[in-house]
Amino acid sequence: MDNLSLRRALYQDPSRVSAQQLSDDPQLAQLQQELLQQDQWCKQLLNVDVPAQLADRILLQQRLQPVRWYRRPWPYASAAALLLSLWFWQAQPPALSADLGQQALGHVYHELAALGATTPLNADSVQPLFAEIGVTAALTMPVVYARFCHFEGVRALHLVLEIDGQPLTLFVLPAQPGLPDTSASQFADARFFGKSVTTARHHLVMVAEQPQLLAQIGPALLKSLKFNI
Amino acid sequence: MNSAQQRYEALVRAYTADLYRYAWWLCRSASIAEDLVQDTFLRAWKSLPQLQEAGAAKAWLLTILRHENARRFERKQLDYTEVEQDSLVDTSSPSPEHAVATDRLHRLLLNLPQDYREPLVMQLLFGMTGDEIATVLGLNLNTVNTRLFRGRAQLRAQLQPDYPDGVSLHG
Repeated sequence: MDNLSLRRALYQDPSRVSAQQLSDDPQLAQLQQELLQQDQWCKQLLNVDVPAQLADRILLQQRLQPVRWYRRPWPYASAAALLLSLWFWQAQPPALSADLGQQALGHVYHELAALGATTPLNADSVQPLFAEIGVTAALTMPVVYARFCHFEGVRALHLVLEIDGQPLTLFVLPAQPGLPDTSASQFADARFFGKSVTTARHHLVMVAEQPQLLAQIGPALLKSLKFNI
Repeated sequence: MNSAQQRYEALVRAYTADLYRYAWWLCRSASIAEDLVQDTFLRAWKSLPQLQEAGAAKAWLLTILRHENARRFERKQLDYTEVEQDSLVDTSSPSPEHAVATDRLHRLLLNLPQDYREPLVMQLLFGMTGDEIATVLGLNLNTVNTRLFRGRAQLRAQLQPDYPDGVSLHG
């Protein structure tokens, strides 16, 4: 390495040039010593005081950081799945409005024992129930079961009437936003047949095991009910 | 404690002091240097998976710190005290002449153009090679060597004006 290259190397980093390389040039050896001394002074100056416990403060700050979702994905994934499920069920139209008949059938099966009732209820005890939902009834057939139930939060009167020895279930519920507007619809499953009728402010849902019973009693039943509100 | 947390703590313990000193010489303010180091480590925590090799940690952290410093300038150029003498320590002054020379060198270092000061600080503070400095600064090795050369030569020329050794600063 020539003199100029050595000089350049010394200024670039005096500690990386060996004394042996400079043995033939006392001037360069002297320059190296001076630059090393200069570097030593610089290092002392660069070595400024570090604030006490700075590392601890940095670690504390890091621990107080909100946890990123991708560092702990499972709790966040679970929460997201839960929210998605809630949204899905919220987004679904109420089952009632989707299928009033299926709701009615569900209630019939839930109160299946009511179909076996044979003792007629006193008209005085039934009328107040009708009154509660704004209906005046002048039923010509005996009522053997009467109770309030709920169709997706809508209070409904669940009745079992006896017609020619056969039970017929009748639900009367006030019309609500979200309930179907269809004037009449039919439904059935393997055991029961049903028919729903919508008046201005009420829904009537009839369920029986014999379809002819529905056809037979439907119009008369409608005539016997007076919808006050 | 998980392995990421352990790695992070090891980084903080190992490099906080030197990063702070580097930041101090970068911005010449104790409070800004402290903020820079804290921001640097926070960003390092968020990007920890990017650090694949322990040997690359020093350069990686320096790169983050320089970016954070650049972001500071993007946001707003803050006012700061030019020199915070209180934070300087001189614990080994053997003589008044040495103290005078050290004080003078300190001013020279502060006034050295940043292009020259930055690689010099990396070399002296972190013991980084020219290649490592080139990587962090995004320069080629020749440019880094030239800046180291000019920085040292400028300091020497101003420290020892009576003893020119004939080196051209344009070398």
